[in-house]
Amino acid sequence: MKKTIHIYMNNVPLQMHFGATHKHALLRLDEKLYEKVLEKKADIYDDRGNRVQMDGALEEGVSYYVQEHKTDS
Amino acid sequence: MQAFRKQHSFHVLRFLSIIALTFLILIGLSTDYVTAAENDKKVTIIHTNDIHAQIDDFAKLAAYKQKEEQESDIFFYVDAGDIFSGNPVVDMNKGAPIVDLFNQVGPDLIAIGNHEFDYGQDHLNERIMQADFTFLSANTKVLDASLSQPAPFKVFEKDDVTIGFIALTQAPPATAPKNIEGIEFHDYKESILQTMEAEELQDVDVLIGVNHIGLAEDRKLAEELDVFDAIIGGHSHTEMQNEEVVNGTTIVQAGSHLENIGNMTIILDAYNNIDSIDWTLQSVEQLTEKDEKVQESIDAYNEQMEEELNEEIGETVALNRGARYQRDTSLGNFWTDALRRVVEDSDIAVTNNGGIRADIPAGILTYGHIYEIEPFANEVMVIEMKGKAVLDVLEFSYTREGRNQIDLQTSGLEYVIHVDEEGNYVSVDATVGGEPIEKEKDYTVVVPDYIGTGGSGYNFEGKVITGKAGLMTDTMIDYAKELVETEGIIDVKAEGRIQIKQEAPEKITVAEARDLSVGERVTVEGIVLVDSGAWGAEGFYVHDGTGGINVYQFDQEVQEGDRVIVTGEIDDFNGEIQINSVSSVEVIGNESIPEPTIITIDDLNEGLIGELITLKQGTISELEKVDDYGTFEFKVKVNGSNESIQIRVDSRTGLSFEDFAFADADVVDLTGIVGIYNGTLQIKPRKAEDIVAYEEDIEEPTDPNEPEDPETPEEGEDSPDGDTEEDSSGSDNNKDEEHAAPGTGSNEGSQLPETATNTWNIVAIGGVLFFVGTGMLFIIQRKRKINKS
Repeated sequence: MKKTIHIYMNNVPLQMHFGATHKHALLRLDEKLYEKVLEKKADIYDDRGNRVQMDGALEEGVSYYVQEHKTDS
Repeated sequence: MQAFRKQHSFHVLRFLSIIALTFLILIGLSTDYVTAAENDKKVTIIHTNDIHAQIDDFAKLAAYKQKEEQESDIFFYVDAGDIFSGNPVVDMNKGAPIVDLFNQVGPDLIAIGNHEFDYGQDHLNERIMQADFTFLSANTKVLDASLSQPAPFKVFEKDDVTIGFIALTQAPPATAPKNIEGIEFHDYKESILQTMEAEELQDVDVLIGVNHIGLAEDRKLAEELDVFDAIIGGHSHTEMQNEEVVNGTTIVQAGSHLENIGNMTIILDAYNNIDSIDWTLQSVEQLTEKDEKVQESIDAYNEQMEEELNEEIGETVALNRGARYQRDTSLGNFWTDALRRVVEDSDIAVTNNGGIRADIPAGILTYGHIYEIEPFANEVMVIEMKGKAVLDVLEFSYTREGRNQIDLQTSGLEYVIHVDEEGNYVSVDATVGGEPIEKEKDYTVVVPDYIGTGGSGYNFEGKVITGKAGLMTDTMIDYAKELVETEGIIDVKAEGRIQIKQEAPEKITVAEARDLSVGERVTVEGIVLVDSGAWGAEGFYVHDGTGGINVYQFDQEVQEGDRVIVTGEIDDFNGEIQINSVSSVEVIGNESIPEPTIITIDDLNEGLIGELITLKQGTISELEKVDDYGTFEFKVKVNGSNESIQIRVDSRTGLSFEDFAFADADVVDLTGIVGIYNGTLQIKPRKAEDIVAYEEDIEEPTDPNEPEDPETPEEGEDSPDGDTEEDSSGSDNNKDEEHAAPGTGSNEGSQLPETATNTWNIVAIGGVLFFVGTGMLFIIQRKRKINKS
């Protein structure tokens, strides 16, 4: 059984449990980011610019970024 | 000449032959080229992944699939796994609705994802039997389990093209361990190499991996193995903008929840060699065509379930999970109370924070809410565990993978995690049913099977009594119904079952604490001067001989005389230093509080803040009520001093304005704690008994012939039959009499009673006059003698 997954979220290294999703990583890093993604005010991207969903599985060694949506104003 | 002609004719013939041959070769080549272009084949593969039971757009998926199939020479639709879990419409029926819809859409195959095991192997078997398509997994090896061994690959031959598909499942799958008991999940690379030995795969023209292992693992596999022409992935929910090509293998993935459909076009030449692979991502939102028959099925499923899910259970307060990483929550308490209730005689119920998926808003609770907060269809498991194993679980729950946060909500079990200044685990204290947990005692523990069987790394070591005590959702619905029936509303709150306590700073005196800056954490020990709550929340004053200080806190009720150790932060409340943000109040004993210090008004200064003092003979003035709850203030002035002091009586002391027995101009002795509010010193009585009528202190005459005895009855009290008429009225009347005496203008006070004190005074005055007269006589006689001489 795999034990942990090491990722980066917004350049912050995080050690996550096996089976953890982006949601868990966001909650670990900053619950406000989690709320923003939940409210569709921001999205999560992997290190190649692909958008990933909140409940997607975290992958070992991958860097993720949260990018807030630009407002009209 | 003939000879020349012959020779010439030969050269001409040879020249013409070369021309003709060249022409034929060119024609032949040209014909061959044209034939090849006409023989190109277009293979279209549309794909989805991680749909997670989202069925609403299946009509669009069906219409899109039909359109693409019509426009393609060779067509496939594949899904890369995780079609289950995430929508009660599907989950309540263990996946049957979505398999039915897939049957209508018509995929060729689906890779088994980790969530395909969520409903258990028996239900997965049922779905496999229900499906008109094939579930694949090349690395799943069923050893001793009810699951039917899935096929590792599938080969199709269409239009003289042979295309093979091999599927991989996340190893091990992230699902409840019990769902995969008896199944092995093998290494990806080894599984592919072993699968490739199959005879059917030896001559495939195109080989596609359909993997539910995540994009990073797909890349790794493509680097290590040169076998796949393309990999269609899932599990990481990656919405790829463009295909990636790794070691000649095209890798794609289409997001999740049926928001997109991937579309891969493979061009093969006449020899079935791959000319090109192109890929696009089709947004489902942008699709407009729907298959009407499929839509009818979707509507029927939603309508059927909507009715069930919208059914009302009853009224509820808001059940929140927001603070679950720091303490117990209302939702966690509701949840675990429901679990404990379902198993008779159970001692403890726990659930992991990760399983609580949403909040429940205040209002009407519906069945749908329950399925939203618990969408995993987890079952209730009962384990008999030693107390030590429970403590180990609690330690693990806080420390696992370095999280350092609360992870278990509890019922029956209350616990405190002690941490150091950095938040690292130090120890845990736990009680079960209010008693300290015993390491060797057996406890009946109710848990969700996800963690009870090892999910998230938990080890609930003990004897499993049952792994099937019902669905978590059912237990919560039943408990909610019971609460509504018995109490009319679901009113569960956070109540301090779980706490994190930081290691206390080194103990210092109250005087030292008072000198610290706001925000500094302190630990002090002292005697509680007043029952908690006299001035709001569960606040109280504590004194240690060096000084006193207010402790403002909410959690711990204390009594006057309790010896306590308090940890909190220095705070400034409108000019008064106090301890706030209290993390710990530990009662370690009970003893007498120190006697109040008797002071005069002139003694009052800020150095006395927090001290218990008594001020005698104060005359009340400016008595007024200051709020609707009965809190009141007045001033007192003492004869001989020009100063007055403000007295504030908070109704939470138990004494309110309406019950106050004194009025302006009354003279009282009062006891209280010195405080300050916005620069104004004030005395704060703690209870009704702290304000009494002033009684003049008059020293009793001492009869040198009688032994000193304070109990000696006064005149009129020595009758054999005891009580006089006045005496029989009791102490309450005495109190009333005291109230009336000073400053009331009562006629009874205009003539002093005949007492021993008055007689003694007369004797004393006579003595003094005697000595003065004798002295004067002596002086006169001396003067006469001098004059004579």
